Amino acid sequence: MKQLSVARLRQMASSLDLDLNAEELAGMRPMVQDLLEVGRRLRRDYAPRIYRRTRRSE
Amino acid sequence: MSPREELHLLTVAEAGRRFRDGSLTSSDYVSALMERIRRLDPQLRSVITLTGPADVEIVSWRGPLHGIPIGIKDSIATAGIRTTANSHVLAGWVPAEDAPAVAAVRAAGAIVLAKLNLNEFAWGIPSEDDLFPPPRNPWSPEHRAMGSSSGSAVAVASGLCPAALGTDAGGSVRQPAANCGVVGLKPTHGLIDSSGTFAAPTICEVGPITRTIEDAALLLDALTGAPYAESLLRPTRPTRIGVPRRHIEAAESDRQIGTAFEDALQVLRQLGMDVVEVDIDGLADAAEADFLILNVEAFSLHEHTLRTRRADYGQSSRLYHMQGAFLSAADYVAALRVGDVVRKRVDDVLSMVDVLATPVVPVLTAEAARSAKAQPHTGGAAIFTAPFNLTGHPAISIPGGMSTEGIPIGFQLIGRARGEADLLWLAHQYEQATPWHTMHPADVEIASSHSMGG
Repeated sequence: MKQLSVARLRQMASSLDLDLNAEELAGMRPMVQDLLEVGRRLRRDYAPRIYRRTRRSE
Repeated sequence: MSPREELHLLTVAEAGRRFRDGSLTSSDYVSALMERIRRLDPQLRSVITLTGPADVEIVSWRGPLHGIPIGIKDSIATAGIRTTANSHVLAGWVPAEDAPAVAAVRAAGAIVLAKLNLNEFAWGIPSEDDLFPPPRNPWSPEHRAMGSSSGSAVAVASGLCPAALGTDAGGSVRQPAANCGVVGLKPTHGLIDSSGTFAAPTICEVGPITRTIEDAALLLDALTGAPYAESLLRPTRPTRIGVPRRHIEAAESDRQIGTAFEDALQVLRQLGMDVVEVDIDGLADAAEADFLILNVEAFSLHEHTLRTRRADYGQSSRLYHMQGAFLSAADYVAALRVGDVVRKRVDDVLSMVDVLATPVVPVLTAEAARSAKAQPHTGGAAIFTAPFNLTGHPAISIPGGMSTEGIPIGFQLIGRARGEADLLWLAHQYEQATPWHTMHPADVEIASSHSMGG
């Protein structure tokens, strides 16, 4: 997954009407990146069975 | 040590028996504990609010908790008693109603002695700048206690109260219990009404923290109305223990934790139990999914306050509560789906074995649990506890060893849904065969000799 930049996070926050300062954005960036990666992986590996083409392995 | 001072070592069951045989009054017991709190807690920092002496005349006996003083995590609402959740957001809030769990233990005759310290809103990394700075581990005061029910575990371990109620959304009862050498139970999802708490409702349970399994059963009796303590005495019980070895080894626990776990399994074998290896795919995914849900539900619960009073949150808590805003509905649904899938897998394995056994936490100290490697926001240090919040199975942390540094190590057993009676029975067998529950930390008389990092 492409690294989440502070600028991109600011843009995402703005779209949610969250007015975060630079310190907050910098503090959250790595944590939000981790969470987005977890979410993406879980969506892929636990997609509803009808869409699953291959058996997932851990 | 004066006879009065020894009262702090009484368990719930022992204190109740002494009330009934007339050798101790609840008033004297409460007074002794309040004196102890005033003497030790300035160093331990486990108590946020100490309530006044209660009228504890026993008019008609309500059960084993009658007249027993207990502590309540300060994110659980208590009628007429300040409930801060260790946040400036709620610094002066006095709820009008008890949370159902508090109402249940009060109805059973328990007295709310103290509201106990925690990570702000049970979600975030504690700091010295918090409304109430983080509790110290009584076994090793240079370390903080694991959280988020840190004050509850510290108070029980230190003999400030014989039992407490905490909340557990990823391990927040079991981890501090393990870290402080006491018992922590996360009941089956929905067994106890966990509303009236600041917590993620899909994955969080109110649970007791005690010094013995018998006391955990007594509190569960009061919380549910079912006779769990009686069931400890029944003869026919589970004997087949499943060990999810692949999941445990992937966590790369501290070596001392691994050794303590193997020793605990050996005790079970010596008790005549059959210990077998099992494989449950997706437990690590379940830990991450649990924390994804926690992040989303934390933001949902706090969104309005974050938008209007963000500066009133501590720095870490503010960021932890906001990051869930960036996750999508699809992420949240996927995390719930992980729960459905892994719950079925755990149920399937628990149709072949009676309980599962794992360590509680892969590291020895709160500081290690909060390290970058542990990635607390995605559940890294909760790799053994959080999966069972997501699946909803009951799980208990039992004292299971002691590190060379003198920090307790816990042992976790996981049972079938609504299988608390079997779980407590097995935990009781283990407890009675080991010395760990008889060990208590020395009183922490550190004044200013220990400084804490910020």
